[in-house]
Amino acid sequence: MDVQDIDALADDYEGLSDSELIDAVVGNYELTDAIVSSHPNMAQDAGFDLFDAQWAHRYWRTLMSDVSGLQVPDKVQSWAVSSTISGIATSIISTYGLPAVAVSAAVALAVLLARAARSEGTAGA
Amino acid sequence: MRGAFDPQALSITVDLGFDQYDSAAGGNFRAGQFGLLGLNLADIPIGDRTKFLEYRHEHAHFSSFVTTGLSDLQGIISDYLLVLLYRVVRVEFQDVRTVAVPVIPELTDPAALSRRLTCAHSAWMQVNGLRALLFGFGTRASLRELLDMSVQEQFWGHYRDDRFDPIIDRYYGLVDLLAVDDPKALTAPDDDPRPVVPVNAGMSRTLSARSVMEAYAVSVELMATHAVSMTTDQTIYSSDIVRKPIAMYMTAIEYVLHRLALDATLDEFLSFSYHGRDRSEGMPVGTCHTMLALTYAAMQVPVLQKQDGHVILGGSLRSLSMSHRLRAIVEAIAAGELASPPEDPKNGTERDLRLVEWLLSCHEVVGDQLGMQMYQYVYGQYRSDATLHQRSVAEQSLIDLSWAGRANFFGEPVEYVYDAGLYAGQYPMQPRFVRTKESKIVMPATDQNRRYRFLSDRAVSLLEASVFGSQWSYTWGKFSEIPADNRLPTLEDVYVTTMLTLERDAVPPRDHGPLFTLRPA
Repeated sequence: MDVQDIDALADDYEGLSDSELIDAVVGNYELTDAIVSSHPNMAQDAGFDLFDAQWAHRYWRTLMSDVSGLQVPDKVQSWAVSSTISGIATSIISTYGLPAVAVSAAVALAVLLARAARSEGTAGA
Repeated sequence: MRGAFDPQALSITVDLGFDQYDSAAGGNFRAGQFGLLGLNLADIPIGDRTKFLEYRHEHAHFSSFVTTGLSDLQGIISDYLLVLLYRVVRVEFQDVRTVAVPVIPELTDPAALSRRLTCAHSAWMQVNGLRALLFGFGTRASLRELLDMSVQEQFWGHYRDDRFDPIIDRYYGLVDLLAVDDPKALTAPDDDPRPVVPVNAGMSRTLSARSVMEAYAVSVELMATHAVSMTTDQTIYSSDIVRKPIAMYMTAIEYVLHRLALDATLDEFLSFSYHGRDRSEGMPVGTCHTMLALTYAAMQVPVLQKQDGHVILGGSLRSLSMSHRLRAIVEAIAAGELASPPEDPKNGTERDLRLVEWLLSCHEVVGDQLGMQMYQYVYGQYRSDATLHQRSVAEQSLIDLSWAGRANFFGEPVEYVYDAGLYAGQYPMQPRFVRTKESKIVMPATDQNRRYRFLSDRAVSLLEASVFGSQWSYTWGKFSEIPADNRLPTLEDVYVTTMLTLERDAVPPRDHGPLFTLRPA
């Protein structure tokens, strides 16, 4: 899948609800397995709350740090809110070594994480 | 919020308000009164069954965790983590009177840490990785990396205290057993420690421990939803009763269905029906029974903590890891070397004996010589010494809870394998507490032990948050019953309680002022 395809997906997915985006993420084994395998401390509870909107609010900073390579919290936030969705998605794909079948899920995750980052910035938290 | 089982605290969170939960449980919690099933919920034939089905799923996690030895296996890792984390905080106090928490802020580059804290971070990540392999979704670390004890030895080089050697030795003993098998025979070609299994004709996936646990809990929920339901014309469902297939949770189910050629796709299994096919009946109950038996056998690990605190464990990765157990059992059945689970398991005068004999044959396949003997031992102890099981739920220790689980299973194995023992149980076996939607806690406890139980059930998680900023937001989100302005006092209480538990001769700080301050974001 090339950059134009990711851009097109990003445009489409920015209009989706959180629920629709979560479905796209959790339906893809390769993406979810790659993320949880990289962060074994994430899966401490048995329950279907991995990758939902609450999870995104708790972990956006960790994942944005992973994919941006930045480790200063303010810089991670700046990168998260200023990057394009397709840019974030491309970084997710590259960082976790995802196959083509995981691209749309990566774009959905990028939207979820960006929303979480922007809402935290808006709240001044 | 949705329901969840916390394996660390052996607790359940319900998506119900306090009054709804109180009413559904048939108790009067404000008066300290519990219904017939204690903290558990019975079926709801009139009204919304959805919440009961959600509870059924989480209770299946709790019941299987406690009755199979998984809670004892986790106890080895949990006790080790408690000591590791406690020592990190304790040593931070050697030069200061107040420690800033979290000790290691989120997103800190490990290279920027002191040598001591770098070792702490590495040791914790390694234990986390092993915890993820045995109970979670796995890790990218190789088996060799997870079992390299030089990482832990470097940590203890900075933090050693001989008083904790028994707990350290116990963890090292577990690691030694996990290293026994030939890694090449058990792991994926890229050294991923999880077994690789086929899930359909063209695809293989790594099999995680969590997917085995989920296969069991989903199957219990499906049976309660479709096959053993108590419904009336006033039964309603506020949510779709057909479960969505969340990919990473479903690997064990897909593997069993495919490898044993059970006549159902994943969608058909989750909806308990043959939609689209020319059949009028739903999916056979036997398919679900097979899933329950296989996954329960996979979870029965040979670990037992005795009443004096000593832990008996045996086997190797093949028998101590539930994902490896499941693969070995399924492959043996596929090869004709092991019988399939008993048919019509809930009927017949010798149903319990047939099931135990089949489970024993599964244990033999994975090289587990001790597991069933542990059940027999506990059951025998209970029968000969009534004082062992006279403590109430409010007074039970974690060892008491595990023993009750083992004895309950051995007394009624069919009930515990196929129904998670919700309506069974000669000996008291309840979640440590239940958390409601508005973060109220329902916890059986006495006036004397209430605060101690509150703190000790959360100690490992709260100490993790004290040390590692990466756990801070997650932990407070999970323990929503602790208000923001009470976080530091609670961390102090946990630290002091842990100190008094681990160092019986310790003198807690008095007239000291705050022990912890919040590190600026």
